[in-house]
Amino acid sequence: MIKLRREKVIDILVYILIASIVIVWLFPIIWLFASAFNGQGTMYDQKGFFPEVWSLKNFTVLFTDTSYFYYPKWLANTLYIAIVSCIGATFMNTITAYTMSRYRFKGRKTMMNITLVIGMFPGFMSMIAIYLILMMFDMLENLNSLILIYVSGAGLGFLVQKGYFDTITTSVEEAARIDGANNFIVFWKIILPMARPILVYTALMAFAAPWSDFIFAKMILGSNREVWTVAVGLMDMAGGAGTGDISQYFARFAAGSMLIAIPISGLFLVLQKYIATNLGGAVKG
Amino acid sequence: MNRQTKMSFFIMGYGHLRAKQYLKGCIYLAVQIAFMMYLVHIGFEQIVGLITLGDKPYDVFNGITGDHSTFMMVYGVFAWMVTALFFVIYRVSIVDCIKVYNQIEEGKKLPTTKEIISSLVNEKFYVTMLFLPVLGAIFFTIIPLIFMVLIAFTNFGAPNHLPPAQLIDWVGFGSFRKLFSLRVYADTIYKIGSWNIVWATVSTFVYYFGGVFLAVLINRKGIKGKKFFRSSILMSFAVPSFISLLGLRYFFSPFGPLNKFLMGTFELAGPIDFLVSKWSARTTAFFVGGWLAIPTTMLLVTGILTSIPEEVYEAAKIEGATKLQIFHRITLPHVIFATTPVLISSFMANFNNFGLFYFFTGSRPYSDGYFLANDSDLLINWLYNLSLENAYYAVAAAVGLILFVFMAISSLIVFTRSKSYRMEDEFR
Repeated sequence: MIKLRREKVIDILVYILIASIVIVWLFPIIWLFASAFNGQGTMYDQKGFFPEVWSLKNFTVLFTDTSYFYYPKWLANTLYIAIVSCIGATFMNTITAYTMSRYRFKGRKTMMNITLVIGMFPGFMSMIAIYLILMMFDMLENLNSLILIYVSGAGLGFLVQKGYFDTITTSVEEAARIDGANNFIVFWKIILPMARPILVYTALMAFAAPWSDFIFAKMILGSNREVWTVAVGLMDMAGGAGTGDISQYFARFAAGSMLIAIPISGLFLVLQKYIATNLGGAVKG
Repeated sequence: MNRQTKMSFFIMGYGHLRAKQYLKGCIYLAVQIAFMMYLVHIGFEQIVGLITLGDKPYDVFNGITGDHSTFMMVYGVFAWMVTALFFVIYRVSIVDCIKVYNQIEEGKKLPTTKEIISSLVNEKFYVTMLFLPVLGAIFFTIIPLIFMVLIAFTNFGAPNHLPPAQLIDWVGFGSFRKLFSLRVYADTIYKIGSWNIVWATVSTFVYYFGGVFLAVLINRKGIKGKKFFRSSILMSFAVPSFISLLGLRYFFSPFGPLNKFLMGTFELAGPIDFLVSKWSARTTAFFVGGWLAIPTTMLLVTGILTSIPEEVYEAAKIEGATKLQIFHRITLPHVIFATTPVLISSFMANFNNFGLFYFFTGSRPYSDGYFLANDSDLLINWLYNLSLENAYYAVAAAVGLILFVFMAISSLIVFTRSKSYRMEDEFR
């Protein structure tokens, strides 16, 4: 009896602990999203954590006041980049992963090792060189250059997908080969349908990446506000757009962020199972 | 070796053409002609250009063009790679030529053009498949990396070596020597480096055990709404991190909502400096970093917890083990064993946690006693400040190489260690 009561007390304590942890974790996000509905002047005028006057003003302003913040244009730019680079990156990633998983050829191990070594360089190392190369060919401030870089780098991220292909049995392929199917048919008609889950995962990740990539996008798109992506634009808003006052456009930043964060967060929550497996699997190689 | 093969040393594809292997012969011949023309037109100049890096700078005032050292470097790296590629093809052509004549001698039938093409779809399928990915990797990853490694051995960068108005030169290990002997650099790299190591060690362990704690807590028997609790905590991971970090930067700023709330409630004299002084910025960043990183560990550990068979717990209970003992002896060893590789990769991620110290604390002004960095920056942030913000390219490349060596050595240790782990498992 006493033991049961003790268990109950512990249960309640655990609930309280979990609830407070959940509040700590959710509060900043709720606060940020609530700020998007702030109806008074700048964020500086707001007294507490949450707006006193709630309004949708910040959202309408995003799409109507486009003299300095071209939010609709940035959305369109990012959507364009996301769609094209999603297709390209998934293609590159899949053919590399499949080939590395199924074929044994001279230089395969070397290529895997080179990929690992490249992964150890800090990302910025190559950025300056990419910048110079793009400058040489007059390709800066251009959305397509960004796509080109996202897509051409995608082949190197094949390890996770390769792990998945490794787990698909080869017996179906062998049966198809005996029936006279060539490599293209095997890949297209047999492997791709079987690898649908990982294809979906790869595609969605590639689609989500441009929405939150700031560093590369800012470097390549530069100061031409017309060609910016959402991430670059939001960073500009959050920094006060050169006024030095970060509360100036904060509510607008919150509204703009919310519009892109909701779909992306949804995506991540749906994919959490995959992400967890890959977190564990990516390192085991 | 016959006469045709010997001739192939000088005219690629000669042997193939004489053996009526027209497709291969024509391709090899075309490769040689193309390479020769490339060399004569621009290639040779570019190959030499990488060595000299130019001797006549642009005269910007008078609009006279000259040598653009950095462009010469990029072209030079490219030209050297083309040359290397040519010699690979050259070698392949000779080897293949010898093979062809051996086959003729043995009286075997040579493959027809059709058979060669179909082998590209069948035996050599990987060549077809990997062509585009490899090309992309060479142009936008490997050439840039080689270029940046080379930059570390030049004097490219502010204030005196910025093309096109100025030239750059090879200086060997000059940048590295400067980094460790010049007071401004040496002080900064020592301060940032030691903070970086402390940061990576502490944050990795605290975040890791924080994640394990959360996972075990929510996984407790009889707790309802597990899924809801987990998803709520995962929200911080799901929202793009640059958005939440920029939001939190305002949240903690001197006149941000948190300070307004605290000042209003507790009647403080002034705002609390969450992001102003050295250790308060570092501490706040530590908590915010945990807010971002702990959910992923939790997610991972939750998965592992479900993989521990229930019988093990039952057996332990029958033996009379207390809850603490069960956790200490069964759960924890299992979780740690299964997550060691992740622990290491998260150490790397924390060591190079650029985003946290860029979006959250990155707008802090450069600190006294630091060269182009503030006192909460990590090495990777310093690398960013040096190169992309202030054009100290050579120094930045040297810092990048040091980071690379550090990462490579740690990964190597991990790799050998994890192998011994696997062996250990086999002995059991």
